[in-house]
Amino acid sequence: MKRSVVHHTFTVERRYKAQPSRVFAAWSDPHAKAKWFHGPDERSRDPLELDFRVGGKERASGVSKDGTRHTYDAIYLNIAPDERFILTYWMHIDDTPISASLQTVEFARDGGGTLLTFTEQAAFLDGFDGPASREEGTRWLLEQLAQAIGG
Amino acid sequence: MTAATQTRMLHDKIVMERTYNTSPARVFAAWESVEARLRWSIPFPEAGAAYDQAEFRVGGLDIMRCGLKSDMRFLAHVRYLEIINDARIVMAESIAEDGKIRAASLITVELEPAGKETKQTVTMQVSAIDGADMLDGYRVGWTAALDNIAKEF
Repeated sequence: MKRSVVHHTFTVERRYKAQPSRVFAAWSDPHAKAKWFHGPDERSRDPLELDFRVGGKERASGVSKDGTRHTYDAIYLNIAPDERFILTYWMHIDDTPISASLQTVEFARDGGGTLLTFTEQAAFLDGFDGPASREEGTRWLLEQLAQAIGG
Repeated sequence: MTAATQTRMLHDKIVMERTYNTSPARVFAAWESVEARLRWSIPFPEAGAAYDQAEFRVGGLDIMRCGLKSDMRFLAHVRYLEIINDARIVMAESIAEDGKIRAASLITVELEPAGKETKQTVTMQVSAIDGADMLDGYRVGWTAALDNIAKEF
């Protein structure tokens, strides 16, 4: 097997009508996050595990329609309430590692709402996933978040 | 909130390549061994480092203090995300100074045989909090450390 690593950084900005504390809570509260944080085409999914504190772990895992299990594991590295968090996460398809990332999410007041800035610094392993699909998936998730908090 | 209290994030990617006159297995061993790391990771004689915890395995956590020998004010947490013997190490690091986080980074180490030598590519994807100085620190510190690895062989 030919090993490869593709490093890629992308930033997505997204505005929400809700204020920063509410948008932040949609990431920090396990029940609130479980409503929008999951894959697009899942046949089944495990309950979200989220321990939102520095050093705390998170796991989201589900089986997609093609029968493969997609698992997201994360550890929180930095938390500034209502303002920012940084986590590292890594993905598996079944037992194969496909990526590792550093994710920074910033929340800034924007009029009465929130400007969310999402930055991902990713290392895609051995060609199982890549920049275009990850960025598309992130935009999809941020739209799911909008629907969960009413815009 | 005044401008002075707003934090600014800086995201950067730093890539460093080295070729060592030895096998990938021996280069890998220099990353695996805590004793070796304590030798080569010291960028200059006045600098120091000490491990409070060292777990070189997938899911493992290193906790290391570093800085000047007389003032080890930096605390690094390193989590190993992927390890492929003699080929690849992926780790996430966070660095705090005097108890306040200053930077987080994803570090990928790739080892490839090149004849009788080993080509090593280290990619650091860094997010610095309020600090271009942290990015400079990464560049200076890692440049010296990766040069030092050559002395291990």
